Amino acid sequence: MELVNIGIRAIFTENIILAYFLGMCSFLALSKKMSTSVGLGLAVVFVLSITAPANWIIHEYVLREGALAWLDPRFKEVDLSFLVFISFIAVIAALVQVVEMAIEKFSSKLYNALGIYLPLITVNCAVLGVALFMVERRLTLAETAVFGSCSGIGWFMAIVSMAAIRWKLRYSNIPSAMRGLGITMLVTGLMAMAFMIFSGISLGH
Amino acid sequence: MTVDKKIFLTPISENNPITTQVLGICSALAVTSQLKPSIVMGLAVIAVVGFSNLITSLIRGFIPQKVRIIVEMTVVASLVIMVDQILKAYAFQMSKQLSVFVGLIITNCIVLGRIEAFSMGNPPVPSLLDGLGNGLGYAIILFIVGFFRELLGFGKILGYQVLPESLYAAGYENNGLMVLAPGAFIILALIVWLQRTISGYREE
Amino acid sequence: MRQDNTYTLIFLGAVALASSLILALASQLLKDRQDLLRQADMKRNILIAAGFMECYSDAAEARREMGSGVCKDVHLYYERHMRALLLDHLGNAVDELETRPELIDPAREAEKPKEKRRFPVFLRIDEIDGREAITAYCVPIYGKGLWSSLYGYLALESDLDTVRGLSFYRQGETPGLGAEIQSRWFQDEFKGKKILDANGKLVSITVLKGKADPASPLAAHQVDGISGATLTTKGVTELLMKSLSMYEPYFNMIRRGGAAYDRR
Repeated sequence: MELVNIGIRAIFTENIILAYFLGMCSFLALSKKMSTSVGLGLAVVFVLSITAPANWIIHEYVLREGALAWLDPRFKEVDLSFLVFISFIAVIAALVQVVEMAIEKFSSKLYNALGIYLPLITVNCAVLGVALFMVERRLTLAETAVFGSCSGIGWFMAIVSMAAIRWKLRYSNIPSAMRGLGITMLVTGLMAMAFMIFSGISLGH
Repeated sequence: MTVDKKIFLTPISENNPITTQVLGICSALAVTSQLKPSIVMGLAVIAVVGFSNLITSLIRGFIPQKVRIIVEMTVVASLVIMVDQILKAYAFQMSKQLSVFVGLIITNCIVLGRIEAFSMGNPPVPSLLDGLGNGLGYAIILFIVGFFRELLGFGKILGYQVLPESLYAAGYENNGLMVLAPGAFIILALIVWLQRTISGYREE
Repeated sequence: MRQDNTYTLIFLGAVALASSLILALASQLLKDRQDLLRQADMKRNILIAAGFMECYSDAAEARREMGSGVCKDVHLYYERHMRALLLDHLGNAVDELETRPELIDPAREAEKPKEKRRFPVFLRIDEIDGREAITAYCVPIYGKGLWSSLYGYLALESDLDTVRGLSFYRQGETPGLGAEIQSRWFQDEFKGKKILDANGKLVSITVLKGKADPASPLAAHQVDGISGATLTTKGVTELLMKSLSMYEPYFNMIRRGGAAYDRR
């Protein structure tokens, strides 16, 4: 039940973009077209689902205080947590690179749709953010897997909704200085308000 | 030195990283519900962008093309870790408040963006200035958003009550929306509108 | 500039080495100061919970937060008034000299098996009528908030029922919302509330959504919530119950007349 709760919270009430502001750059820049939004969104879900557990493993068995004790009991005092930032981003960059190469090899169609966005996701604040939250909240591996993939799904929902709205806005008479970033920010604010409706939901309590 | 002065000044208004270049918004918004964390965050970013520009410009002649991004990220991540460690040692309470967000400076598009756009092709001193200018442009936006969010959302500035009691007695209430996510988006939208009206920059 | 693989590898190696060395150096140099600040912070919070408001005056607080960090009085007050004990899960005192009670990380303890866990208790000792008396029992509280884990201390009066004070020393909640649990007004609300019901059962304190009704029979166990921070405060309610239950064996022993600590 707790896992379902984490999942629902990650998608709706604690949506990684609309509540935590993470992943905004690509969200704002690429939500103009539906096709790019869908492609990017799916890529984000995929990358988050892989990197969150991978980072959990690195943190659990290498970085945190006493983590290296499995290598040698004398390492109980070793605390490498100051390397968290650099290791997480390295893991993310490496995994994204591997995924990109794998997709390129296995399906050129998928690569054409997704491939170009993958390098962008390395610097997507949401991916690193999810990993850092996982450390801060001391989630278990299962919780991390759910948290990661559902945060991705939440991000996907937000960007696809934004693309749909911006498509509709094409014919609106927006003041010239507001066009583009300005109106997108405003719409995001309204979407964030809308998603706050979900904050009453909680299962199994 | 007018060229260098221009490099430093343009990112503050015309080519502002947030409102014009559309970079670095992520980690900005979450900490701006109060003014003080906004200021500390702004300073941290100025330091990181400035120094990462400087360092990458210094070694730009030696970086192999294939691993360019990895090297850039290593430099940025190391600087961010330094900033985090220094905060923990000298501004402990603040570091507790900013925890996760200092780490997110690594993925702040401004940092990598400026490295790629400027310091990879320019000498160290202009790169440093470009970094500091962009950092400052970013920090100013953060400052403004934080200022209004704390003022309208709590009636305070830097923790000190600014709106007088008499106003509350007359029926004024703090705007709770300003403290939450949507408030930040809306204020930012208004700032963008204002800044672009002034500078004349138009998208599309 | 060469582009071949050997050069690339050497360069990467050099970069990795340079950055790890610099970071390790910085971490080592700053470690002592960081630890000092962390310890002072924890001790200050223990003292605040136990009722030492002098360590919490607003101007001094502001000065400390602006950067210098260390309240010199903290260590003095702490040495003079607080006595730290280490308990096992059954409430018995254990004598482990290597473990400093103030430095126990509740999160790490929670991951250990029950028998291996250690629970610190901080007793406030004052001189009353020429004799030493325990005026407060301070225990660490820990649990999950909305964005982060919450760490704090709760102090009870000598009746082990009334709350003396509450403080949080570590949280990563939203500034202005959940983070208000660290504000004085929120923590002051807990003073005087009771954790036991009429039958002596542990009911802990509940942070309500909205304002508490003073006329309600449960009023002594409730405090006002923080608007916009429902999930954070829900976490607070849960962690209070969980943390207090862990100390029930020890508290019950004292309530029944047992000795709080070995006066040798």
